[in-house]
Amino acid sequence: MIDNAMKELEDWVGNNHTELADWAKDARSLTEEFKAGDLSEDEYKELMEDLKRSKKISDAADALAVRSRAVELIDNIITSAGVIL
Amino acid sequence: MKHLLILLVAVMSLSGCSTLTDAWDYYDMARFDNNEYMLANKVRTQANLGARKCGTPEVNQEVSRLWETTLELKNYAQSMEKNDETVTMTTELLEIVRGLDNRYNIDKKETSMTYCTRKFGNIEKNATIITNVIGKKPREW
Repeated sequence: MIDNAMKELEDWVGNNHTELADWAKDARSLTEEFKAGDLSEDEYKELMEDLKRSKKISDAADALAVRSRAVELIDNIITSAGVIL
Repeated sequence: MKHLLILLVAVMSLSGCSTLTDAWDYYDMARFDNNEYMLANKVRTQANLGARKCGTPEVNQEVSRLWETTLELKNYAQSMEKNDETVTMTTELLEIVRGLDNRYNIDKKETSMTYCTRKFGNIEKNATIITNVIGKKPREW
């Protein structure tokens, strides 16, 4: 059971919201829209700044996801130990 | 017992913890909270509905609602102890929403349709990430 738990924990480390969100792709399409004249310069700059903030959100989300999973696994172990004792 | 120690070491190395105190701090986190989850989901929903009002006079009211809810979410997250990651996420999200609110309700600038839909879309995407991750916080004992 604990071996499975370790594998699960490792899988969670690989679960990346930054990759899923693909902020780099958004940056490319924003630049294309700006060049096409669909966005003013200040709108474009603001939206690009938002992508930097979005990256910080994704990074914090990844950290929280890993921490939550790790804590849950420890909770389960403590509960299991309590049942055995 | 051996396996428990292996897990503890794995958790410590994942968290960058070097002592047992650090490991305990890593373990001692804000647990799942219904109100926090509800507010995050509300931001997500309001962003989704707000995008539909782009280009109409009602958009200003949608922006005001979204600003208020996001501020409430950030303030609520900050009121909980050991909630650092969520505070970071909601503070950044609030700054994104602030740009929208400034443009529509404070500076009252001309805004393009592309900006409006992009902005709401970005807020919804981030709110979805936040909702999903706080929904998976460990439950209270």
